[in-house]
Amino acid sequence: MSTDIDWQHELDSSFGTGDDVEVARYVAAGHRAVRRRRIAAVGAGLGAAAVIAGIAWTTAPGGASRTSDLPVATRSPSESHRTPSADEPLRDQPWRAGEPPARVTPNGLEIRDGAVVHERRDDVYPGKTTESAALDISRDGERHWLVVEWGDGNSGMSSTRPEDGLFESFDAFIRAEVAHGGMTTPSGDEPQYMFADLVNWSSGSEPELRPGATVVRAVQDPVETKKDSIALAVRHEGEVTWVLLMRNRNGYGASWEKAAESGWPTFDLWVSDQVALQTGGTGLRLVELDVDGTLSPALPDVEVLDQRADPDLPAYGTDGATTSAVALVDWRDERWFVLALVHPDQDVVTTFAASKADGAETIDGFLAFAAARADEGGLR
Amino acid sequence: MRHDGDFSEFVAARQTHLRRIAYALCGDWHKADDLLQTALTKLYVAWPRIRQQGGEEAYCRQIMVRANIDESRRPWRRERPTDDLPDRGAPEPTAVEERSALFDALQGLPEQQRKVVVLRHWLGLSVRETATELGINEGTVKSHSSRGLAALEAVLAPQR
Repeated sequence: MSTDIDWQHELDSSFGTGDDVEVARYVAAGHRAVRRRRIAAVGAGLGAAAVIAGIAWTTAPGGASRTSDLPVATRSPSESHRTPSADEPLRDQPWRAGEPPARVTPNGLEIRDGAVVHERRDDVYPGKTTESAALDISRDGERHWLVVEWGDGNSGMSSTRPEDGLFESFDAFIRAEVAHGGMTTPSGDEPQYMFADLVNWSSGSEPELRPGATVVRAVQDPVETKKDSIALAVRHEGEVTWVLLMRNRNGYGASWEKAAESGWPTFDLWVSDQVALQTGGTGLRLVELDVDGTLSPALPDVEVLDQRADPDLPAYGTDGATTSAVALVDWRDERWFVLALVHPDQDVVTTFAASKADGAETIDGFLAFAAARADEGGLR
Repeated sequence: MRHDGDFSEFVAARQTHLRRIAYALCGDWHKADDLLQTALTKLYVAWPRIRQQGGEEAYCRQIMVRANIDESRRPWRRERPTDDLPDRGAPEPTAVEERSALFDALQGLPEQQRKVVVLRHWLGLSVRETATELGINEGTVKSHSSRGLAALEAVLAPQR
């Protein structure tokens, strides 16, 4: 190879310059991402290694008053405790690991036992008919700033943690939330689409899609424990979102995830995982983690290609795990990364298709990918 | 948000350079815009931490180079965050004459070779820095670099 070529100059002069974009456009996109992240963080924050999916439950129109209202929840695919059902009053449901220590129940705001409320302000949206509160609250050393709004058959929560540094003070957080106008009132005259911002679904009707959205795939009644359910792959503006809609006697709800951001390579695998969540199953587990940190195949056709104990992913809880390991495995002609953590109260196994991991081919690559994703709410 | 000012200053100063990096990686201005938007959005979310560490540009670059460029040559996922800003027209593609045969050859390299060449030989990162940025070992950087430059040199040779 010749060494007299000035490659920096040759490459730099081999193409032109694109058109700059208004800086405000990037700032606006950042605002939206921060807001999405705060909402997605409800339930776990960044401290848990988790598959994150939006899960919404809302009151059926004109329905019973005993309906759980959770705008978004975060869960790990292998939580050892039972998955709450929308058939149960929320007050009787267990608190999820990492969930902020306050939530809305049919009886109003519920503060978890053992939580310390450092500051509370009620009615942060005085011009609205809903009830609302802002809480500076901590439990087990985890501090949260929350704004909760409920009423008019709906509810919502926005959450952040002071150490994330998104707001310089509790006051600033509240001001930002108030500026957004709340979480239960449409911000304009355009119809709002409750699930994934793409779909509405009310009792006795077919799913109503946002104009311009189309259904790519549909699976009827995937969740046998629900009265009705339907899984949809919805394309809107070139982007596919996977949505699972469920209905029972008290209300209806949904979980959703953008296909491009999911760790599942196919719609069918995502649906299977969501069904496992809803029915209390563990979902797909490719490996088992032994006490010595060794991962071994959990299925006959799984081959562990590489593995490493004690990966350094503090944002996913490796620091607090009694045992942890990450592996690259082959299953059904596809490569997968698996992050397995054993905590005193639960096991967390996150399975992520290598094809969805931004080109990561090695464990090092996956660890870098996972660390980068921590800033957006973790592995999904 | 309190860091809007600092973030805006950074974007105003560096977006042209960052967009060129994205373009060098993917060879399409539309995709480059998407890559850059993804990177800057992530940067905004992580701004307090990244700003404190002083690695804003490296953070953006790392997000872009670790994107699966060739995978994304299939239908591209576009975010359209335009609820309060008017859509700008699609940027005009760079005129064909602005793209040299060398650039076309760069785009013809396998993805990882292309990334290595861009980082190592255009942006001037060391072998170690390139390896770290791409999450590969230094030996792989060297082999990709050697093969990539050999392919590009064949394009330049007739002009010399």
